[in-house]
Amino acid sequence: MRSDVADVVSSVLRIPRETVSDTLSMENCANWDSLAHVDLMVALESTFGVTINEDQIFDLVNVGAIRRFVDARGHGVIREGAADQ
Amino acid sequence: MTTAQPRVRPAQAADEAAVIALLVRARQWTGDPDRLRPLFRYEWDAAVPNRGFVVEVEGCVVGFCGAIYSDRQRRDHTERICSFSFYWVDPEHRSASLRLLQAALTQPGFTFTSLSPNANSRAILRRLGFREASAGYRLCLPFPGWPLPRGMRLLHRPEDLLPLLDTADERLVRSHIPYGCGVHLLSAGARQSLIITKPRRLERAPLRVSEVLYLSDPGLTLAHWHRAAWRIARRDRSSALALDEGLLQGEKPPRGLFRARSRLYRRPDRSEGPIDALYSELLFLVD
Repeated sequence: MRSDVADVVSSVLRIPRETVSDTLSMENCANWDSLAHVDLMVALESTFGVTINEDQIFDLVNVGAIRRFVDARGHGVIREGAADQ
Repeated sequence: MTTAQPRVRPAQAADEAAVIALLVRARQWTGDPDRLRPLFRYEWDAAVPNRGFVVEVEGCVVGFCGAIYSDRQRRDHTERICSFSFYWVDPEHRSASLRLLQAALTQPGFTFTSLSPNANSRAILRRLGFREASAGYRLCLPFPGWPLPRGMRLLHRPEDLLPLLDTADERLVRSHIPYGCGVHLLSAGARQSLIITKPRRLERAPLRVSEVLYLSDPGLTLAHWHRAAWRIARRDRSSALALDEGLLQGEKPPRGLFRARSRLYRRPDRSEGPIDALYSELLFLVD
């Protein structure tokens, strides 16, 4: 099994995996409020081993931006559970 | 459900009625609505760029992040404080909640505080770099009868203590007296400590408590706490004093019932340091 950004977004926001696309954002997803956003940032850090600073939190407000951010750090797709190893 | 995009903009005096209606409707405030008016009317010696920020949809206010601005004179600079009061966005417009917070937090040069955050706000602000100013406060029930030793004084009347203060403390006293605060000056030898209190009623008990907002010299105050506390409480007509551990600057807290309370802050350079409860809290504490 492999995990990617869409899986994390789907899990944290509690929405079906198939509804997660790069255009999904805080503006068009009812479950994605500021508190869920914090949960999502924490989940991205623990899953992909990336560090998200305070300014980046305000930029990563859609799946496309998150995917580019994670990909740029070489963590676009990881094996499930890799963060725990 | 509307499809109009929420707009975030600074809150101004003209938003007073709409914001109060929002906070009451959302049950973010259950007291007398008139007591929220100072959020939009307070006046003291500090620049007030706005009254916070609002989320607006088709002319209706659906979100509010309240901000109360004040200044503190530090040794070599003026610290500009922006204290958050309320943070609320109607559920159907939560997509704008982060933008609302961003608008407030990207104002440059401010120390941001949140002195009574709820659990959600606390989680968000912590992730945005806010620190805890203290773990909680001590509710102290003072005992009468301790005399002041020779050479020690405790003044309460503004006309007596104002001439003894430096410019910064004098300014604090003059700003807080109109809001029903108690002002007390403890002096011993060459040291003195200004103590500013705000008497209030506890929510769930018939008890009047003086919340300590500021101590200029925690070491001196705590060294004589048992002597000073009773006199301060008596002067304020309170039964107890609430002393936040964040005011103590590392001094050992006095005996008292500990109550957990979160107070958050973030300085521009992310440095640590004491945070007082002046200005912002006095708008909300019920006398």
